Amino acid sequence: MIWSKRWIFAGVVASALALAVLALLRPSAAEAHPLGNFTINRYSRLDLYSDAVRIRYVLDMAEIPAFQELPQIDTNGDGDLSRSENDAYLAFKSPEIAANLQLEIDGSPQTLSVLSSTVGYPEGQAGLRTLRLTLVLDAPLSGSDAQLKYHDDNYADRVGWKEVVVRPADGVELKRSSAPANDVSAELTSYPVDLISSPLDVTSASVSFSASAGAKAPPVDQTSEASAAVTPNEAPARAGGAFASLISTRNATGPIIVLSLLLALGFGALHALEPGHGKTFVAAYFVGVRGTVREAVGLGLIVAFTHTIGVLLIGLVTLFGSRYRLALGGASPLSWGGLTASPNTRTSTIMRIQRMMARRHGRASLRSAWQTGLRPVLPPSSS
Amino acid sequence: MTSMNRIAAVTAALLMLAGVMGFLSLTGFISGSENQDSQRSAPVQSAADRAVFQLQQRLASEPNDLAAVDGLGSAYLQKARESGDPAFYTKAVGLFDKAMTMAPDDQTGIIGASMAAAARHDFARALQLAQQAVRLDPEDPDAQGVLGDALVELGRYNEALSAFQQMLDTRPDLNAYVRVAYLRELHGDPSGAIDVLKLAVEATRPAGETAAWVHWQLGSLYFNTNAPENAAAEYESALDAFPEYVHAVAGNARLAAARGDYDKAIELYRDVTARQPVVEYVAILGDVYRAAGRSVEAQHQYDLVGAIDELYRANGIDTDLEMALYQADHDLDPEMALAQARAAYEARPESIRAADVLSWALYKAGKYAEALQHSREALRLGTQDSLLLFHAGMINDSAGDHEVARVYLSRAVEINPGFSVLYAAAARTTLEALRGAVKGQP
Repeated sequence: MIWSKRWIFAGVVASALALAVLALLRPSAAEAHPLGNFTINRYSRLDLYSDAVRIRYVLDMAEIPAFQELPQIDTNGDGDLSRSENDAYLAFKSPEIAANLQLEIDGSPQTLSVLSSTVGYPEGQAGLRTLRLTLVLDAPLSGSDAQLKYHDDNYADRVGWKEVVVRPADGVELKRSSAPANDVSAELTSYPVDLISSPLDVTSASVSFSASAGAKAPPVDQTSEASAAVTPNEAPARAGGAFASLISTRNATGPIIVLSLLLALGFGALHALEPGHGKTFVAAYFVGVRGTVREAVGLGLIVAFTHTIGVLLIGLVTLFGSRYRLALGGASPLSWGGLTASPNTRTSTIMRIQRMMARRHGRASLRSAWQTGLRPVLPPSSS
Repeated sequence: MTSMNRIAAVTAALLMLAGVMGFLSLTGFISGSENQDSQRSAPVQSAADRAVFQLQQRLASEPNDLAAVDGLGSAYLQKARESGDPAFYTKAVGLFDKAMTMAPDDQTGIIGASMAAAARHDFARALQLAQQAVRLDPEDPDAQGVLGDALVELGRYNEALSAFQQMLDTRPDLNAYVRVAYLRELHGDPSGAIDVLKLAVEATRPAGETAAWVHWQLGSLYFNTNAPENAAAEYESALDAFPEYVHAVAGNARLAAARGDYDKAIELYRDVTARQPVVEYVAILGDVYRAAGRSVEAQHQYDLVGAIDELYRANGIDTDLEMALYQADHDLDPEMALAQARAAYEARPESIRAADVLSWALYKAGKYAEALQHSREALRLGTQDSLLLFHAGMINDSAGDHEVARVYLSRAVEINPGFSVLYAAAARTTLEALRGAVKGQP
């Protein structure tokens, strides 16, 4: 079980690389896509006031869906998008979009009314237009504390950047929000291009807030002006679950470290309850020699120490091995899930070390090799 | 119980409790971190999604972990296939470039970069990278795989055959089998190709997008050999494995068009082109609209093809071959189509596809003798493909060899009567005329 954590990672890498193998299937002509040019990107900002919830909704169609949409707008087919054509388009498109937005306050669905709508055509690649549609919608609010649920169902089957932001107005107290208060994409005007983040894919929000002391919703003009000065986008926050955030070094204050150690102890205790950890043998041993609690604690500490040293040693060996462009844990990463070893697979340094250790200690695994110093000599572990 | 034992028991209980709480917080039952959860990237769905998520987290803390860089690039390639979002190709290429900067002889990075180059139709670069990978590790089946792929696209079929043979010998899995099937199809044995793919499916039991892809390939083979019920069954299997798989929907659309159900074909192709607006599908939608008499809507699709082509060029994707064929088929500007076809042919003079497109562009431009020469090149492997044989038939007819034309056209119609929305009817009428002319001779 020393291998378990490294194997989990190795397994992830192996399976990701196995996916590379899957992706090696014959490319067809249909694979040559325009890059990113057929996304439909959606953004919602919910502004919470004491008397209303305002939704600022932005739809950004890339070049190809914009091109596909144009025949509906340019109804006279002259290639020019006149004011009346845009107005007519907004007249039917806005309710269509609003109908796919679901807002629930304290469990009851709200009707959204469209306060304003605009459409523009920023130039994209290759001289083609993109389409940018902005709506401001409103739902009145009464009462103070509220639970809000929001979901955007527009273009659900289209790839694209999907972002939801919830911003309380002055005086509104946000108790809990599943959505951040700050933009990543600056209302779909600048998408981060780093290689290690996928496009944002958030279409809902769940918020709990108290609005009694908050500012009232301004008339629509002020809203548009205020939101024109959008806060500069911050880099996307490090994605991390509850546990990972505890162990990330940025949060490593004293109490957190202590808590982490306690949790680690707890995990270890739970983990030792799994089959194959020699519980029965140890119990039988202590019953047999009528051992004391102190001896049991001593044995536990020795095992913990040897486990830790073993893990550190494996880490060093792996680091050493990886310098020679060898895989983690043995066989070529591109063999199917790292499991099947064909006759021609070259032997890695790690496998050689494994064999060396095995030869030296009989059929024992590396783990039991460390345990031979204990009395009585325990049979090789079943793990 | 002695006091020591009691203390031990209490400590053990507290530790267990701590462990359980830690476990629960990890699985998210105890909230308080909903903020971060929702701000995370795409919800976990497929194996590729999980791999992407985990590797992104890894790289966030360890940016120079070569295995993770390679792994994430590969996962992005798979995501590109599953989602159809080409942004993942750019990311993959960026990561593989980074991997190669970090370690110039990193096998996975080189192979991944070769695959990405092939996806952009830069086959010369794909070949160069594949050759590098093979030099580094001649026994790596994946290196042989990408090498064979690049060689096939460049028309070097015998060399591709030995690369794939080596791949098969080293590791006889699904990836090797699909290449064997492709080569069999190219060499005129589509039923052999079907057999190999069916064997591969039974032996390896793929799942998800891979299974959908293989069933789609089987469906295409069945369609091309006039077995529409089998094709439909394969497309259903593909949709079961990967719901709404866009290529399976396109396959069903093609079946509908082939049996004359244009409304159904339009409905399905509209779904396809909304999600994957590539030239091939948009052009076919235009053709189906035209066949259904809806010429205004057909023209919209043809205009869209032009826009997509502009975008391909702006992004450095080489589309000469596809666009040359499209131009020739839609009679827009035969001279320009010919120029493009020649350029594509220069890049891959041994490829039967390039020869076929060039021969067709020459035919449309009225240069029959030269068309005939390239048509013969295109047929040299003995491929049993209706469209290829149709081209050969029409070219021979215009070049004056009516007997040969009749043979090719009757073969084309026999192999797959519904082979093309644009040309199936033309093939039949030309064939009738030729048969009539033969009968009329004394």
